[in-house]
Amino acid sequence: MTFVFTAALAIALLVIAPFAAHLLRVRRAKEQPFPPAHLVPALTSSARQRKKLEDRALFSIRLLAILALAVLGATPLLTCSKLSISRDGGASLAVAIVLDDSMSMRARDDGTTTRFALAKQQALDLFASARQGDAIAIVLAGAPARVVLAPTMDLSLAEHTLQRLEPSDRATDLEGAMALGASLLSELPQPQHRMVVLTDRCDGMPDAPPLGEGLSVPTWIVSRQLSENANDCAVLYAEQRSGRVYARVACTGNQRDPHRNLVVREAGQTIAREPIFPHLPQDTGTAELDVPIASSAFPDEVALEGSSDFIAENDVAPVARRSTSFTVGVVSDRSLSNVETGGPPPVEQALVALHTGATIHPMTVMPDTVEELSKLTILVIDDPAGFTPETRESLHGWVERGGVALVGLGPRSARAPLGATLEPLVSGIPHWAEDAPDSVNERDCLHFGPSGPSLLRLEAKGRAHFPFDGPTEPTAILRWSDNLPLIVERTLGRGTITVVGLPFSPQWSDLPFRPAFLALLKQLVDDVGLRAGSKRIDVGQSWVIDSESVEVRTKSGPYPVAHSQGKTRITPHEAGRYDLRIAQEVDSRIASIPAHEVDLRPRRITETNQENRLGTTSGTIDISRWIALFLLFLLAVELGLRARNARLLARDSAR
Amino acid sequence: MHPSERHNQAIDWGRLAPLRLRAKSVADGVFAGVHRSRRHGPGVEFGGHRAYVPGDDLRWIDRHALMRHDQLLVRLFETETDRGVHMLLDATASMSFRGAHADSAKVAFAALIVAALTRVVLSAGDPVSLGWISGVGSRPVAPSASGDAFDRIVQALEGLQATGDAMHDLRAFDRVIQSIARRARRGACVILLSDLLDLPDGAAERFAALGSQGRRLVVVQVLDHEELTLPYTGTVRLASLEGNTVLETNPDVVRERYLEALDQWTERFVQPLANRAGRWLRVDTQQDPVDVVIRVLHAIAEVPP
Repeated sequence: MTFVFTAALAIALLVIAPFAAHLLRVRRAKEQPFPPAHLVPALTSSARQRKKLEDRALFSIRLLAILALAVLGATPLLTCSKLSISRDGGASLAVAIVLDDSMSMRARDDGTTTRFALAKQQALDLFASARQGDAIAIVLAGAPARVVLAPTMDLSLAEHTLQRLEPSDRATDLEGAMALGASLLSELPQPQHRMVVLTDRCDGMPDAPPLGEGLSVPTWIVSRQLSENANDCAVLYAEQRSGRVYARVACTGNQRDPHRNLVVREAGQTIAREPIFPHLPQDTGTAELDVPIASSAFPDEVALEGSSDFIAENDVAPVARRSTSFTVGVVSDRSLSNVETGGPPPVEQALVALHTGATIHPMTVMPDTVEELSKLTILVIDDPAGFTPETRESLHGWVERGGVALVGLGPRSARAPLGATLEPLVSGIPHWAEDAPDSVNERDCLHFGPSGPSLLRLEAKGRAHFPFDGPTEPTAILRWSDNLPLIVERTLGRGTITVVGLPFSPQWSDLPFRPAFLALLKQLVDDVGLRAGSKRIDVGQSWVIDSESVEVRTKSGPYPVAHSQGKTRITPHEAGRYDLRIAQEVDSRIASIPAHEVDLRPRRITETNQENRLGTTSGTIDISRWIALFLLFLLAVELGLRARNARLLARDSAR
Repeated sequence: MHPSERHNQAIDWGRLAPLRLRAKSVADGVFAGVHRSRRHGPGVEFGGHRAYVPGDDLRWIDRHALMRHDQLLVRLFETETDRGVHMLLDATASMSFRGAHADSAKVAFAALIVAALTRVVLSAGDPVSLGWISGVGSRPVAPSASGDAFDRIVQALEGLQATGDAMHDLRAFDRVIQSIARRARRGACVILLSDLLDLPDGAAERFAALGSQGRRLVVVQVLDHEELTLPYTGTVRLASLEGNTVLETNPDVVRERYLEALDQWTERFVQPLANRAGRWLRVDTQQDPVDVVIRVLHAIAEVPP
């Protein structure tokens, strides 16, 4: 506190001056000798009462004026309760604001204001504390993480951009958003870089490592008071299949309402009802509900009825007609790739766990005809021992026509017999060696989103060295720590080939047990969904249509689309039905809520990232202009009061 | 200190001192002859008979009537020999009040009028006397037309100290009235100089009774300019100089009502006086004393004997 600040506030002590004057004026009236005093009407009560009222109003105004003067003198040192970033030595800042716009931010902890609105207000507070020369970037953490405002020093543009942001039904990708933010800041000239993360930390991974570990930019994850009784149920999606409605429901929180039902509606009328409580796990989790309906019924939506929960927007979902299914062929030797607990090979179990809706087709022998391959959309091959020429030809044609292949290379692949190569999936013969490093390239892990760090301590007894070339330039998705490729991807015709330098058997590595393996499979499935024009996708993913004349309508009206290179990309931000009009035909598609986004358990953060050294929840603002206007207002009120009192006096005299 | 105590001190003469010179100056300014004496010499006129009562002068017993009617009758004569002026000055505490812009206290102004009238009346050869209502050091001056009467009256006025409360002492007022009644005969003029604010109830009737025997009555109400206008503003506490009246009011609000009350209060005194053909004058201490004396003399002249 400076001397000026103290001196300015000391003016406030003068507030007793009007009070003292008031006492002197009212309580010690001037005494005047006056012989005919007995002829003067006493006016003690009315005069004093009116004087009291008049004085009280004027007294209040003068008190306020003195206090306002004190505050005016103290500004801009006035401290208000606002979010602000601390800066060292007054130097310019480059700030990346990571704003979580996922579905969990729709929750209202206090029952009135959404978490997103609060986060947006905090971001506006940060803008208010910004100065000339500061750069601001905005990154949204709804999956996939994306940049909505590249670093700019135009604060009004940043504010305008922020004002038009709305929450979505996307999943949460905090790691991706923070990595994006860090990369945006990396080359900015400002001497100080900061990243502020405004999130509820509910990304569906409450047990994952704490947020903010290993970031190169000082990051402040603003702590937020979350409700301890966060309970919510959501309908992820619903699909009609021959006289039944299959719905997937996710719930979080441990306070369940046993009377909640899933109702199926057709044109607003309930045609079926099913209690959800018996189907749900004890804690957070999902459940499949199978509701029989009349075969002639055409339900249009399902909804959760009963007591309301934290997020009401996700209690309703449209019913999709049976979507175009696809088949995943899995070629794996069960004798080599199995787990001790039994069951199918790990890769099959992983595909089932993804709940993609795809048909899993285990295969013991590699299909070698076009007819067999054409039934498959995805082909997963675990440690193949080479392909025959017929197989290679069929496989080549299948991939070129749009097939998606995933192959894991192991010792058997390296021992392929003469004449049996792995073409067209791998060029040349791979070489198996037991020289696998202890870890993989850390930066490449970001490709797998939140699951990426699970690869950092990958344990493998060996690895496949395979030629990193081909007719098209392959892309290394993941590399070992010595930069040799572990996972590469390349395209062939309209298809995609993904090669993993490890087999999918737990005998050689724990890759199948790593969450990143699921992420890899999920990416493949999503990629197929994009190619095949999946009827249902998660919010945040896109439909890509090979036409520019596409119009999209939702329940709330026309929906914006993006055109690029003769294609139209539709990226749903909210769950629901999207009607795509393509060449006079209407194609109804569904965007659904990601299951793990329903989990409202917050993720932990490191202590470093919640320290107040990076920012505070209070800041200094200059309100002198408003104080000056307030003083003018007080002056006007005083003049008005004086005029009113003069009129009252004249009226009393006339009486 | 109560306001009345502050005013119980010597008269605040203000710019009216010295009284003797000021009175002469005022009297000189008055047109000589305004107070015309109606005395035509020592001649007498028969005024009728009345029954003898013990104590009557035996010289006025009508012997002829005794012999003719065998009754003791006394011959009455109407004479105009008493053209004297008997002045009664209110010297209560309220008369010591002096407003902020006044030249002197009310009693000082009244004393100046008394002294000036004395000089005028003496110049016409008529006797003058002076009585008091309350006051300290107030010595009555007996009727006298001699040359040193002016000095005696001025001396009495200069030694005056206005104090006392006459409001609740009707007996004292009666004594003063009876004293005048004994001395003033038919045709005499009785002048009361007072603010009329603190006289006891019944004082008006008793004073008016003096006019029953051909005496002429004149009342000069002496008020300060502040008493006539109530010029204060804002909330004030007003304290009377007699009694214990202390009140708080806002003169801006009550001024009109006060002036009405003052008029009504004065009317209580004026009404009995008017019934006796007396005259009432209200003077402001800021007025020119010469004009005031002239008005008094005119009033005396207007009163029918």
